[in-house]
Amino acid sequence: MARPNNSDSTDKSLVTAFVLILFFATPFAALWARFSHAWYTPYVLWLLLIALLAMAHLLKEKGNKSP
Amino acid sequence: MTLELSSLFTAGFFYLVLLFLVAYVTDLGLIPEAWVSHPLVYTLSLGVYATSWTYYGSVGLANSNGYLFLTIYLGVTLAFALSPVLLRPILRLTSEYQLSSLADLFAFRYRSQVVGVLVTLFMLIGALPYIALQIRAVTQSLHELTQEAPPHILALGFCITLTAFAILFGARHISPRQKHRGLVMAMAFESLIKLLALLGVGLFALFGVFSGPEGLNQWLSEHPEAIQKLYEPVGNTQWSTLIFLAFGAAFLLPRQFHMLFAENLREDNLRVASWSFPLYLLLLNLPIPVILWAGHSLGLNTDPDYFVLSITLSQGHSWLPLLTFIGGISAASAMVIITTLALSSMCMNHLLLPASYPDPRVNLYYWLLWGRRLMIGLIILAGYSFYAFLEHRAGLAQLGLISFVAVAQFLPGIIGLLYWRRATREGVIAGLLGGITVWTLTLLVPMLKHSGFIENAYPIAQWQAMLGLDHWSFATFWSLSLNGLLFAMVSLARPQRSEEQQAAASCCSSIFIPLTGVVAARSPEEFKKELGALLGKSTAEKEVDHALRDLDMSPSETRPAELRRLRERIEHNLYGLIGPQMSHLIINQKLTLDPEARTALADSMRYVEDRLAHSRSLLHGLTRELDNLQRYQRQILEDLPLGACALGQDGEIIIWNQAMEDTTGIDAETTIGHPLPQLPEPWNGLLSGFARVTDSHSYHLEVQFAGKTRWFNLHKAAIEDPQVSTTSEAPGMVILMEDLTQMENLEAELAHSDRLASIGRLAAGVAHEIGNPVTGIASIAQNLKYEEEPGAIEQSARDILLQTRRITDIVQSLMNFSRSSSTDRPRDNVALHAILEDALALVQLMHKHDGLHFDIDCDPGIHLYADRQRLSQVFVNLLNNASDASAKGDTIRVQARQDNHQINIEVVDQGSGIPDHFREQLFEPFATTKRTGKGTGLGLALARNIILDHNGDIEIDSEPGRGTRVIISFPRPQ
Repeated sequence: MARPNNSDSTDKSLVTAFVLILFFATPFAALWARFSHAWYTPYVLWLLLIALLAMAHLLKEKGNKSP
Repeated sequence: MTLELSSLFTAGFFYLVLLFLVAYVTDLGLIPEAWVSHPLVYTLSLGVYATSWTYYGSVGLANSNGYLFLTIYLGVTLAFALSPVLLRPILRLTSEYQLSSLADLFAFRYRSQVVGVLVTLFMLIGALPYIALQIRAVTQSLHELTQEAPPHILALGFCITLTAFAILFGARHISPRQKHRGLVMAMAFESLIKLLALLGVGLFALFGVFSGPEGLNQWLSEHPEAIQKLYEPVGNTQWSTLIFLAFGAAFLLPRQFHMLFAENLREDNLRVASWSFPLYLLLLNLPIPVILWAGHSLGLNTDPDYFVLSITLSQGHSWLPLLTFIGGISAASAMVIITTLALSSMCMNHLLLPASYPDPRVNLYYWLLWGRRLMIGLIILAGYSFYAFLEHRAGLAQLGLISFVAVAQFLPGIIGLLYWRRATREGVIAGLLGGITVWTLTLLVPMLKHSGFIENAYPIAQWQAMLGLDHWSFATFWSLSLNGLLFAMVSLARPQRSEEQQAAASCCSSIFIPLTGVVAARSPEEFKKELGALLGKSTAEKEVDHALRDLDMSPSETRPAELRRLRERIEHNLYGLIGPQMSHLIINQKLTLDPEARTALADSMRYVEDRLAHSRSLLHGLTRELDNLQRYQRQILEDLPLGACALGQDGEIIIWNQAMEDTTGIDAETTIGHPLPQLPEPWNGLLSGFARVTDSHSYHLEVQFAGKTRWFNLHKAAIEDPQVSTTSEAPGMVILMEDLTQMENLEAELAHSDRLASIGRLAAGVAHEIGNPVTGIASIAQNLKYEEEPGAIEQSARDILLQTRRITDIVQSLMNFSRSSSTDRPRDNVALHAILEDALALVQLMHKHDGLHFDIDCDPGIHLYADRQRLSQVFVNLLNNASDASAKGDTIRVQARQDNHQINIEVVDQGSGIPDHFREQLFEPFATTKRTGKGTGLGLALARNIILDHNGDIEIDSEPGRGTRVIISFPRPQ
């Protein structure tokens, strides 16, 4: 696997930002904002995005530590 | 149930004392640095974003607008997700140029005091309602807990305490170089308290009110409208608008900018915060719906903004209401303190300093410190006044959102700052004025009308209805549209000034502009003198000394390139002290640049390399590859085993590689930028002299250095710069220095060894040769004792004399050989035959047991005008070589002939011959085909030198396995 670099981390963050806009600031939001869904659905989606951001950071850190 | 005002006052008081203690202990250094600079502390300190609006107001907003409250945090998550392209570039700029506020950043990029003033004023106007909101939240929470109106003195006391804290822990240092660690730790502590308190209330709501998740689910199934109401606003125009506003607020709000950039201890902390801060916000918001439903479940009829307090209070909990109240104080105090600090810095740099710059006799540091402290007091007082006027007239969320729309007006400017080089100061001023006007008309005036300050206003609600937009979307859309449009149009319409172009290039990190011009002041001392006229003597001295330390530069530095760097560093350091525009003006006025002087190439190279070193991570694609290539080539030059020194067109040293450092003992730091004549002796004489002469090569130069003799070969080549080749300027030059000292020493050692070996062989031969006559003499002398006949005695005496003559001849030959190496000896007309006989006698001594035959065919009448001893050595060497190459029984012939013009001598052997590959180096010193210890390869080289010295010539004709013919020719003496 290619060693993650700064650019990889940036790309992952930008993709996460795009997904966030898609989930929360486009008509796509109507898919999860249904009354039948559990009240914590937006929190779960939000947590998912945070996990993606954390992965982008942690993968970069791991890449930097490898010889 | 209600709480006593006195107990709340006591709890609040002790909490603030604890906060002071945390900050104080950190500033004392009692908390390990690893903790203070830990990413978790940085993340928690960013929690200052969550004010009392979040703490109390989120439940109120959830009650009225469902999940709309989440947008305020989703926008922040978006901003942090875009951190690599948004926050990190800003962090790099603020840390590199020591910019402590958004106004500094704008004034730096757009090179305008007006821009700084506008940003500061607008920030101030936008932040005052927000500060008022915090004060109101604290007094309102007191009211909720005590059910009685708190006296005004409590709000005033709260403000005074915060002022004291901000002054003591936020205004300890003036320069952003020194971080306020205590303040950061205290803010992190406050964020932790907020989170724990809100989670505590959430857990209480879940388990205390609903008796667990099952109870909550049961209640929700009985009240389906509760979830329905939450989801209702998702996706409407207001939803997207608030995400956008929160996105801008995440880093543009004064408190956010201050904690994110000005108090950042490590760049890597921001990377961690890009995910950990959104996680903190998620945890903070998780209990909000549960607290809201708990309030409804309990049938509370209080303001939902304060359900956080009411539900614990209504259930008669003993300590949770107090903890909740403390959490509220945390949220409010953190916001007020940091916002005030950020605003005070802006007001000092962009309002007070330009309006009343202090007399140089006044200590500038004290003036700035106390000025900032005064500003802190005035801003909190203004916030308190705003609170007093607007009391109870607007909801918490309304006041907060007004500030959000205000700071969103800086978005076009900041995007232009980072990514649009063409943006101009006129553009950003026009955009900001347009945006501020619309913000005033659509938000501020309606709020003032709502508060009763204005009687009649325009029918804004009708305009909103016409467009189908809500209040916030309408204001945001029109203010930012006009702002962005004016920013772009005016920027394109107006030409950009050169200083703006330079600042734009600095902000757009992929573009570098090397430093140009030469500073008029010629030394750091002159810098101090010049700056002292405006900064004051002591301040100027401290700043210049500080910049020298930053650059690790000597106070006696005089190189123009280094002084240019020093000027830039001082300017950057002053950015943090008095703001970028003021600093720029002072530096331009006092440390003037000579625009005619061409910037040294060394300067440009150093600047570009410095910038590249700091910004490597920003390079991508071809630029990154080019940078790698440049580094690789630079490394080749550095690791070259030859000394390399490149000179610019002005004669200044640009490159001084490692081998050059090792050879001369002078490091690159002290030579680069200096002209060659400033080098110490003997390098000045050696290199400057060589640079002046027209020859491209100079060999075997002898230099006395550190008490030893050293030898060098020098080579040089002109470097044509395509950019200046058309001008009359001289080209640059590269000089290579080849150190021959080691080779020379080795040659001397080998020559010495060879001589010793020759002497050894000679001694053996001599001993043997002398031994024979000595034995003969001994025998004759032995017999002489018994001889009585006079004739026999006489014969014995003659034999003894004959033997002693043989010994004398051998000794004479040996002496001739030993003297042959000396030059400038007198020459004489000598018989060639005698020389050949001398040489043969010696060679036979060395090769007595080799079974060789020697045949000399030389006319005794051939004479040469030569140095007998030296010529004898030529034939000794040639015959010796021939003997070494020959096998037992071979014959070595020497033939000498003469014609009218020259004398030709051939030395012919039947030996192994010379290998083809070796012929090119036959006459080179130490080139030999003999076994180790048999010869050093000096013989043929020496012979050739002696022959050339006698105007002769030597050629060698050899065939491997067939023998060698050495042909020597001399001019015939006239």
